[in-house]
Amino acid sequence: MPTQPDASPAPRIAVAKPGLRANLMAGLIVTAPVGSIVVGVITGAIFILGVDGIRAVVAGLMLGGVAWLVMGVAATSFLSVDRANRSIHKELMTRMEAMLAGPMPEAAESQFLALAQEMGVSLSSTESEEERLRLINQLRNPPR
Amino acid sequence: MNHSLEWALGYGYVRLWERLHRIEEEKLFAASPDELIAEAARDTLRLQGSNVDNRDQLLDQLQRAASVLAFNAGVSAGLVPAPPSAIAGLAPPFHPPDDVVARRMIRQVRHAINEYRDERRLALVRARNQLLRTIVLTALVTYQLIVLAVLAGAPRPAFTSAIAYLLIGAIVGLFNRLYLDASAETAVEDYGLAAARLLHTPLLCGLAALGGALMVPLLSAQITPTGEGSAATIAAPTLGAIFDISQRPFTLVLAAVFGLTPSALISRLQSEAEKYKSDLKNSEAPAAH
Repeated sequence: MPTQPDASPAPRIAVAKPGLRANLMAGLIVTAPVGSIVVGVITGAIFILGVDGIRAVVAGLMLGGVAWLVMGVAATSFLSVDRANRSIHKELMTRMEAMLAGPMPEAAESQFLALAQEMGVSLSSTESEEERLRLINQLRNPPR
Repeated sequence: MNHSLEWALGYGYVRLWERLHRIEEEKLFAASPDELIAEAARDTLRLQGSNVDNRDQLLDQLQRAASVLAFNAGVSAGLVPAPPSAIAGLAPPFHPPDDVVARRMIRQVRHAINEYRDERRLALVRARNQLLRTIVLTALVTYQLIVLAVLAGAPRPAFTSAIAYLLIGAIVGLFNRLYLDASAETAVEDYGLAAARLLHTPLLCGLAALGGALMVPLLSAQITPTGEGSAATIAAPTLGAIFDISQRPFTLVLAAVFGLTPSALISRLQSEAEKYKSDLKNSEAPAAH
């Protein structure tokens, strides 16, 4: 008869914190469709407002470029797996959690762990481990 | 490819779906007989509503496999009616190796369905990214047009008129989008394709309107030259005259009409996306886990 709780708690899915690796180039590429339009609109507006020739083009490029850069920096916050497309991420997470319910064959387990890592989630037993230790302590030293 | 960019471009999610499906198939192979029979029934429903290649063969395969599993597990045959082909090809009593074969068959069918769905997802992502690339290139070429006009010293009223034509075309194009969107499927995730199309519409329709506003006066001057007899001269209107709303207010109507011309292209793009989405919806599991 086992005298202690099971030593291998079921793994839990915990959302990992998104990485702070802000890739500016990626942000600029993502915002390029809007950014390239913004540069054109600003250049046109500067010309209409009274700046002629090359000065209008340079001013438009500078102001439009800054606006694009700001967009690119802001977009980097939405490039992680859990934020780039929230609905798909949520759907994938739901499917992964459903998969955890039943027994997992060995061949699939390693693939599952790799998938979890790529999804930016960690299959940790930290919380249940703490809970387990608390329960063990409670069993050994029952409250009087 | 940059790791972050992969998610933003959508390819990463398709890859994750593929990996998830491979795990699901492995898990299915090792599932208990009753679970396998239930999953086979579920896949039968998914196949029946879909356009998966070799659908009939896959359905037959599922029925054969389910019959073997049902017999070996002692499940009532009424749950999974065995087709005549199953009786002819796989007659009871079945043996343990038959069980493995049945499991493999069910896994193969699931793999075929998953692959079909993943291909549709990838097609949506590719279409979205291709459209975004087109937008970037079109916007950059349009910008060069603006730079050319600015550097050539185009008069401001002409520049303003050109922008007015472009905006009229963009508005008409977007209005047309409202009509097209009424029939769009919104329950299926399209990986941002609809948003890319929305961005694409004003740009394309605006440029078409601008082109129309420029071409029609020039062509009409070529078709109906001014003057008399053989000495007829072709007096094409100047660019300054064409891009002057006060002189030619009717050009606004022309711009509006030409703003609708890309609608055939836009609706074709939309119908292609709708087909992929409909394929995904039709091959969906009938009920959630």
